[in-house]
Amino acid sequence: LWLGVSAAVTARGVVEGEAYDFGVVPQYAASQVHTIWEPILEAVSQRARVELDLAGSPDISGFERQLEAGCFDFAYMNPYHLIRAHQAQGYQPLLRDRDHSLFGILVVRADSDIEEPEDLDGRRLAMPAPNALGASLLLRAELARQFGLVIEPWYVRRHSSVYVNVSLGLAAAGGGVQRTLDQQPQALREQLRVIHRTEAVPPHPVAVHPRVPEAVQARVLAAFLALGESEEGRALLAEIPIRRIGPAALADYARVQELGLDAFVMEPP
Amino acid sequence: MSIRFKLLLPLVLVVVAFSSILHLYWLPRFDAEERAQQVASEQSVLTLLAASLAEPLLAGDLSTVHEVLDRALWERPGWKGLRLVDMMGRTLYPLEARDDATPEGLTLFSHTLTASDRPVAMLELAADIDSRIREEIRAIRHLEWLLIGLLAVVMMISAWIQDAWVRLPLARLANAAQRIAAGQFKVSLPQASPDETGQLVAAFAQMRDAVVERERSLHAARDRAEALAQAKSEFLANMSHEIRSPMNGVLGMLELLGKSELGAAQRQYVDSAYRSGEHLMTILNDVLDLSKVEAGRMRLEAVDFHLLQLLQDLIDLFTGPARQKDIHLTWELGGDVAHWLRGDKTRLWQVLSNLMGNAIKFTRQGEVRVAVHRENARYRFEVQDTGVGIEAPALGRIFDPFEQADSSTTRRYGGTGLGLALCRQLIELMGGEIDVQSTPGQGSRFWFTVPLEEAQAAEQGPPSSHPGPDAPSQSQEGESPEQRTEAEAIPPARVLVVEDNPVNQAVVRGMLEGIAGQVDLAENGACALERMASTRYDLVLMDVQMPVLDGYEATARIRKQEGDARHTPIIALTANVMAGDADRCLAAGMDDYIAKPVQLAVLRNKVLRWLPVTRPAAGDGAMGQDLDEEQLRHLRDNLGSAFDGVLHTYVEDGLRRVSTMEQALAADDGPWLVREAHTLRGCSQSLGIRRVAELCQALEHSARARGALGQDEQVSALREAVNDAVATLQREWLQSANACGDPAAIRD
Repeated sequence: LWLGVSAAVTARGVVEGEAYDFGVVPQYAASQVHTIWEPILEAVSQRARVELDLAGSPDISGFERQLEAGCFDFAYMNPYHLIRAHQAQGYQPLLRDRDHSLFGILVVRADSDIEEPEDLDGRRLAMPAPNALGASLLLRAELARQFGLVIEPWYVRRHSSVYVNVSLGLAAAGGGVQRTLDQQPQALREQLRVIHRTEAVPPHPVAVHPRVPEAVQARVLAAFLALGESEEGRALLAEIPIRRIGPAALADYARVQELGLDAFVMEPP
Repeated sequence: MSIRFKLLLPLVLVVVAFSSILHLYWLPRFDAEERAQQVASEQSVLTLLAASLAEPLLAGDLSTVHEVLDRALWERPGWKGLRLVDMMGRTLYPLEARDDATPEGLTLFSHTLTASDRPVAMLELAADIDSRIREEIRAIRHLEWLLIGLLAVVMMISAWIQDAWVRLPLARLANAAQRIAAGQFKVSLPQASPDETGQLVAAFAQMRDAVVERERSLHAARDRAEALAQAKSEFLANMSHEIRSPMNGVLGMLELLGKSELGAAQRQYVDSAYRSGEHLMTILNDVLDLSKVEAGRMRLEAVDFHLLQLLQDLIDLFTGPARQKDIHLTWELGGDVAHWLRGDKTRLWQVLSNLMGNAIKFTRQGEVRVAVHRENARYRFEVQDTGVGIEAPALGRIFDPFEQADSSTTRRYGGTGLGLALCRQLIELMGGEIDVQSTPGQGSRFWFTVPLEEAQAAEQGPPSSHPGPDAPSQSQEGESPEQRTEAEAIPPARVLVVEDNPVNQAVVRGMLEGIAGQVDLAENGACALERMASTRYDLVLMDVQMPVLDGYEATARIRKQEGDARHTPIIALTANVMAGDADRCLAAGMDDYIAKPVQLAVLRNKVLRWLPVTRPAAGDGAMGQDLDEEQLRHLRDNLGSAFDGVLHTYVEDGLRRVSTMEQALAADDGPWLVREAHTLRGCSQSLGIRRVAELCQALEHSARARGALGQDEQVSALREAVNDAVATLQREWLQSANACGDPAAIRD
């Protein structure tokens, strides 16, 4: 990892002061993450006159471990990660999408006889991963607490697999988020029906480790916000996806903490 | 099969073999192997694919499964369909349930996914192996067509090259060879290229040169041989002349000597000498004839002749000798034998007289019999004797030159042994054959067959007693040389003898004594022309071979000089007995010819015949103008019982010929008229019917000059004369005869 970072430093060659590691939750394949974030970090680095190096993570669990160990100076993560990282390392939210909010959805086959969450009692529910915020934690917490249901969870790794399994009838229902559902092919989407939405929470923030100097934090914040001012910058941010970038505060995520999702988190073996 | 085809055949065979192997063996094998390989390959790929699916499938990560399968389908165009079915029969891939029916021509594969040895799902693949193999086979086919096309191009180029370098030169060479075979040695040969074809052409050219060279040398050799033969022939002809001229003198002088006052012993010596000379001439003639035949210079003539007359003349010729030896001469004629025939009468006579002479020579007593029969288009002549016969071993050689039955024969009977050789040569020349059967002590039978045509003119006059020009017929007449001389009335005629040899001059002059009033001499043709310019002659005797101006040329000039004004009879004296001489004499404008040596009887006969008949005759009576009674009487004495037959025939023939002349006149056919007049004149002269002969001669001359037109008067005068002569003959001569015999009765 450090080799990769030093290689990145050498390659970029815009060293002015310190270099900072920037972690990204691996929602997508590493290459895709790279494609999305590399131009953004480059633009921000130039503007903020700091060096931001993209730090890779093998998977979400690895990312979580790195995050809680304080490996990243900056990191893009989900709201629940923020709560955990703040508790562990004191990470502070810096930026977030001001237009968008995060919530989980419950899908069934379009021709299914399941009309409401109550019908799912005892049925198999496909979800991407145990700790996925919208598709798993928020949904499971709500189904358990609000509806009092016992379901058979089935983690199929990816949002797409959730939809395919539901479509094929291998699972009675599936948990996902609106954004990934919208990304599915038309034919698949038409076979699915959304029967429930969870409570919405603010979307993924970019958080900063308290060890990063205030000035640097300010410059990076300013550089990100400046991206949102230009057409090109917005196009880059939309890839993340962030529609309208704006500053974030820890207070924005108080509700997430209130939800007490820790009970539903499953630690990897 | 053309050489082009033969040369191209290997290429064609290669193409056929290549195609056959490709289609019958290689392609099917390729198909099978390729299919097996493809199946194995697809199966292994499918296995790998399945292996990569197992983990996400167990994790329920169907999206990953779908992505992998989508990518697999996208990456492999030959994969037309993939299906993943779980153990409960649910289709996990693709999302949209497709038609289960497998499209035509697709190969199905399946693989069972296992986890911990438990089957979890079935992966099915429908792959289009066929079209891929088809594609590959099509590529191979394209390659094949390309190859065949290339070979075709190679073949065309090869054919073109073969044409240009091999076939065309060969064809041209063959063409040249054919033309050379046809004798065109000058044909141009194809150009010799520096290869085997060129070598062939060069070798052929060499061969042609060799052939040309050989032909040239053969021609040269042939020319030399011909020149030699020519020289030999010339030599013989010259020798003939050279020997005949002195012999002419010897015999003539002997004949004259025989007429003078001699004692009995002296007369016997003279007769002996004369006979020896005659024998020498016979031998000479035989030698010359034989050499002529061998030199290929003997020419056969085709003349109409009367067979009976020929036989009668032969019998007459040999009657004397036969009587002396107590030999009975008979002849026999087949019923279907035509009387008038066309052929070489002279040679026929020569052969027959030779055979008869031999028969009489070798027969002591008994019979010599001549027989003529017809065998289809041929005539078979036989001469049979009761003589000594010939031993069998000698029979085979008897017709070879200089061969006789045995050498003692020569001693006993004389002769050169040339006679039979000559007979065989002549008969073979006439297209016939000759042979002999003989029994020693009992006699021989010589026979020959010759093709003879019937004379073309259906109506023929009586046989002309006018003999052939050659020696045998001369000797026939020579039988009674003395009989006529004293009795005949000699008109005082003026005769010019043109002869360069003084001895011959003397002989001819001596012989003419008593029949010609005045005899003038000229040494050559030029002198003769001079004399004739100043003097008018009744007859000219002209030697043909003379210095300064020869007889032919002199005669031609005389005729030109005379024009139509007059016609002096010219008789050739020729020692040239080669064939064609007679024709040449007549062609030169001569009227008749006498062969040397000149014999008194022949000379007198011819001279009397050709002296103008208008001359006042010595005979008396009104008939004296029209009929020569002396001659008729003489004939009657000579012919004996045959005389009436002859006269009878003349009467018939004369009347018929005048009618024919009238027809010729009507047809305006001059040559016909001339021919008829000539024939009638000949007969009339022979019988001494002078008026008719005279008119015929006049008619002949004017018709020859002016054609048939305007001859009516002459013909009617001739008709009158013939009628008169016929009347007189019937009244005066036929009535006095014993009987009117048919031709058969004239036999002795």
